[in-house]
Amino acid sequence: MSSVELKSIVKKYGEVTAVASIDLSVESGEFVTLLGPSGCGKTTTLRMVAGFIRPTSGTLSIGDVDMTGVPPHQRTVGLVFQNYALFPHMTVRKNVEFGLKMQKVLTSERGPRVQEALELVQLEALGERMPAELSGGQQQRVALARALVIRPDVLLLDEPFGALDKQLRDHMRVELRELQQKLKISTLFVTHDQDEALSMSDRIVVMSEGKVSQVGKPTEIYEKPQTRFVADFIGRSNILVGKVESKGKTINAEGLILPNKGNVVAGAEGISVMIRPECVEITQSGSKATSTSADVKGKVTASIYLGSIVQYSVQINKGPNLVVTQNNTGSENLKNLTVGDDVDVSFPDSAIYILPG
Amino acid sequence: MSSQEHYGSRLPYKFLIGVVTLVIFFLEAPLIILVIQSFTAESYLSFPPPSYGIRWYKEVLTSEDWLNSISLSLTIAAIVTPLSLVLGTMAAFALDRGPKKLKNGLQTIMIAPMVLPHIVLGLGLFKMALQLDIDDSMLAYIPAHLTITIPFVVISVGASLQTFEQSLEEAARSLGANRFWAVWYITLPIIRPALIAGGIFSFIISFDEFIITFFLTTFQRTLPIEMFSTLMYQVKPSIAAVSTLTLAVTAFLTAMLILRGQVTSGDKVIK
Amino acid sequence: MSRNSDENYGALWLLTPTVLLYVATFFVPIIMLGVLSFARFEMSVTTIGFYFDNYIKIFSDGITLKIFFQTVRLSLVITFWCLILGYPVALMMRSCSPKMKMVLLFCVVSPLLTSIIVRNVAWLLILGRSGIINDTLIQWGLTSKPLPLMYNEFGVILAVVHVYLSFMVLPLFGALNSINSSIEEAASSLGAPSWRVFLSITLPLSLPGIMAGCTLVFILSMGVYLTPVIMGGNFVLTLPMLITESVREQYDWPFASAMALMLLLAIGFMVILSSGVQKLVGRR
Ligand SMILES: Nc1ncnc2c1ncn2[C@@H]1O[C@H](COP(=O)(O)OP(=O)(O)OP(=O)(O)O)[C@@H](O)[C@H]1O
Ligand SMILES: [Mg+2]
Repeated sequence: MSSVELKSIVKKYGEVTAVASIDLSVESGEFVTLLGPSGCGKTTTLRMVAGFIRPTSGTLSIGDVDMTGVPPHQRTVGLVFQNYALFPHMTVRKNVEFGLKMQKVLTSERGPRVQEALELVQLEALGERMPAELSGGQQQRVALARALVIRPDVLLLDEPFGALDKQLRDHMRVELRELQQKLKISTLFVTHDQDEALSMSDRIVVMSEGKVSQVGKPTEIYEKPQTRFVADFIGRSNILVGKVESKGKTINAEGLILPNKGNVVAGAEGISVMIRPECVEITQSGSKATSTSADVKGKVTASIYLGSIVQYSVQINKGPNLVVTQNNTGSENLKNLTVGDDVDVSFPDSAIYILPG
Repeated sequence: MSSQEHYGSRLPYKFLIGVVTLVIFFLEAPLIILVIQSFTAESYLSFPPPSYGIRWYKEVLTSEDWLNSISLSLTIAAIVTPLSLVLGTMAAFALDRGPKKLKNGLQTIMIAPMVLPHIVLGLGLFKMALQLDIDDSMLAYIPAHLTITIPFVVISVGASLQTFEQSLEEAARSLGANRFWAVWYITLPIIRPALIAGGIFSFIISFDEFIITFFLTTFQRTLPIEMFSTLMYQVKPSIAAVSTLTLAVTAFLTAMLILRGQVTSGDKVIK
Repeated sequence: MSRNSDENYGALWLLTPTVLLYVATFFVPIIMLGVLSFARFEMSVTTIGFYFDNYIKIFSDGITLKIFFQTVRLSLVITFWCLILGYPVALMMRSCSPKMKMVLLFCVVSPLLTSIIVRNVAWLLILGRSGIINDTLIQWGLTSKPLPLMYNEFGVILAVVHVYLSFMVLPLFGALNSINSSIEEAASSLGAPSWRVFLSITLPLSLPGIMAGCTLVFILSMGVYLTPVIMGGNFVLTLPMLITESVREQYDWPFASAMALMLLLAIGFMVILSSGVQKLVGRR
């Protein structure tokens, strides 16, 4: 059974196409993330699921019931907004209770359910506070409790951590994921932050310009992007255009000769070769006596210190300029690399990925 | 704000203070003098009064003419205020939530009666009332007053809706409230200061209205009309007492408005 | 922020009661006045038709046109004084402490909400023949006869300015408040004396507020009835008084309607003029 299913959903605003035919499903208990750059139609899609926007065409079902034209208040969805949208004139408890009141749950039943929801987000002590008296993280939790208390078929979250600082965001990420797994609640999560998407989701739906670019598990999305867009958008990557040479043995990617491990057919041209920066190995030329398989040589043209990693630009001799990152292990070798140094560059098999198509 | 220090030490600033003091004196002194004179114990008006008392207040509050006109004015204002709030708020919602391309045009229509001189509006309303044979009755006063009070509600509520975070209403709807209940439980409580402002404006405007009602009445007399006719006949201390009474009511309501910050900004809704 | 729902035509239903009300109390009555202004009034009988009698009468009876121009002139004088007195207050409100601003705001807004008639009564008690000023002057022997302080233009202008000053201050304050004071600070840090800063920066930038305030006060003054009657007796005649009289005393609806339309026309002209000026200035 799928909790949410969108079939060829289209949304147009006059001339503007916000969502151009989307197929998407959230299975029961699954955490699905909509990931994509700003303006790609994530919010629009989510709001169609919530019922605030009526699709131009297509069908939408929640819990296997067709909900395409049903108004929001008749859908049981829990919605969490980026700005929390807590009712400023009600206490935390009243905020959480509101949904139960609207669904005509008996007064006697409401108390325990509100309590339960507040305990779930560890806010049982703050029930009598007003929203303005809470920190950002606490407000976020109230919003979550308020959405969960009505026991929704699906939980919808639109960039819920956008307003939090980095540390709190990382913390809330873990908390939300744990909560979601505990309650086994189907969740549709919107973000443009790939770390968030990769770390939390069962499945990720990458969107671009109103269309689905790729659907898959985080590992699939990261390691086996199906389109140039996904490869570009997820992580840092070098994408080179190459052609197969030497009777199918090597690939010439903008001057960089790589072994054809993917066994692309001989004679193919215009293939996209992705090189993940963190997989490339670089060492100072001549520093390692054992460097027998140093495939190519290059020169460091820029170096950016990012704390846990160091990012270099390496100009390959007679080849392209590559971004290479190295974990900051504190090794002297790494520290000694500076702009202008000659380096040996080697590409393990895992570093090279040929995009399909 | 920061220009304060920079003006502070200069001669022109002192000059400015002088002028402003005079203007404020010009604005407020007559009213203060009026209040003082209303407490005269004499049978004529003079300043300062030779002796003080509440004689004229007693007279006003026991005179049938004054009481009748006060009660007529209060009744009209009491009927007009809630109606004006309901209609004006509905209109403000329609402008805020309706199609954006129609908004400016419709808003102009909604506040049009405000820019029309009341003398012209009164003349037209009088003609209409005669035509329908409802002049000199509530049926004429109430719609007439509504026409001049509704624009104030539309403006006050509209300003506050503009800054209202609509996701709050959406949150309520996602929790199972239909549009009406979402507005009822969430939007209206939050824009309450604007509603209060609109209500106070409506009440005062209706209570003070003269020229339109003057056209519409023949025998009935609202307070301003009673004051006017008394004034045309003779200036007695009772007129000062009545004036002070109305002044007290409106000053109280005005102070409430300003203290709630609703006159300068209809937007500080969420503290 | 999250207003990207479709255009909601359904919400327009909420306008229905107000629109119906306005049709009955505003649109139809104005149209009726328009129709009536072309009617003929003879021997107390009104004949609907398309006659120019009333408009011809306005221009040829020798008195109506004079009173119309007198109304315009008085309105202009009132507007002028409101501007002169209101501008310093608005300036002050902008640059004083928040507490002081509250006080000034109360002084400016409270007249808006106090009945006109009450304020006229107040002036009556001050300017009248046996008002405070004349009483005091006679007591001190400075004059033997009461000075004519009211029942003349002076009294009317004074009282109307008192009533409408607030309508000038609020738009002025709005305009001044929206001027970024760093522009002025920059100018004075470059050595411009404060009067130069005022004339070359503050004043021109507050022009929209000046135009708005003047238009508003002018419109209001054109339609004022009560104050000229109370403060002017029958010595200062204005168009609204003429309109009222011709309806209430002579039942001459067509003529009153024509005068009302003329009033509207003058106001419309003023509004167009001021928006034209504003556009011109804005383009510069
Ligand atoms: N009411 C509307 N009228 C016209 N176009 C709209 C409307 N709402 C959204 N759009 C357009 O639809 C597209 C998708 O918008 P949407 O809000 O879904 O993007 P998003 O993926 O949520 O972006 P972000 O990450 O910035 O929130 C955008 O190009 C936007 O300009
Ligand atoms: Mg969005």
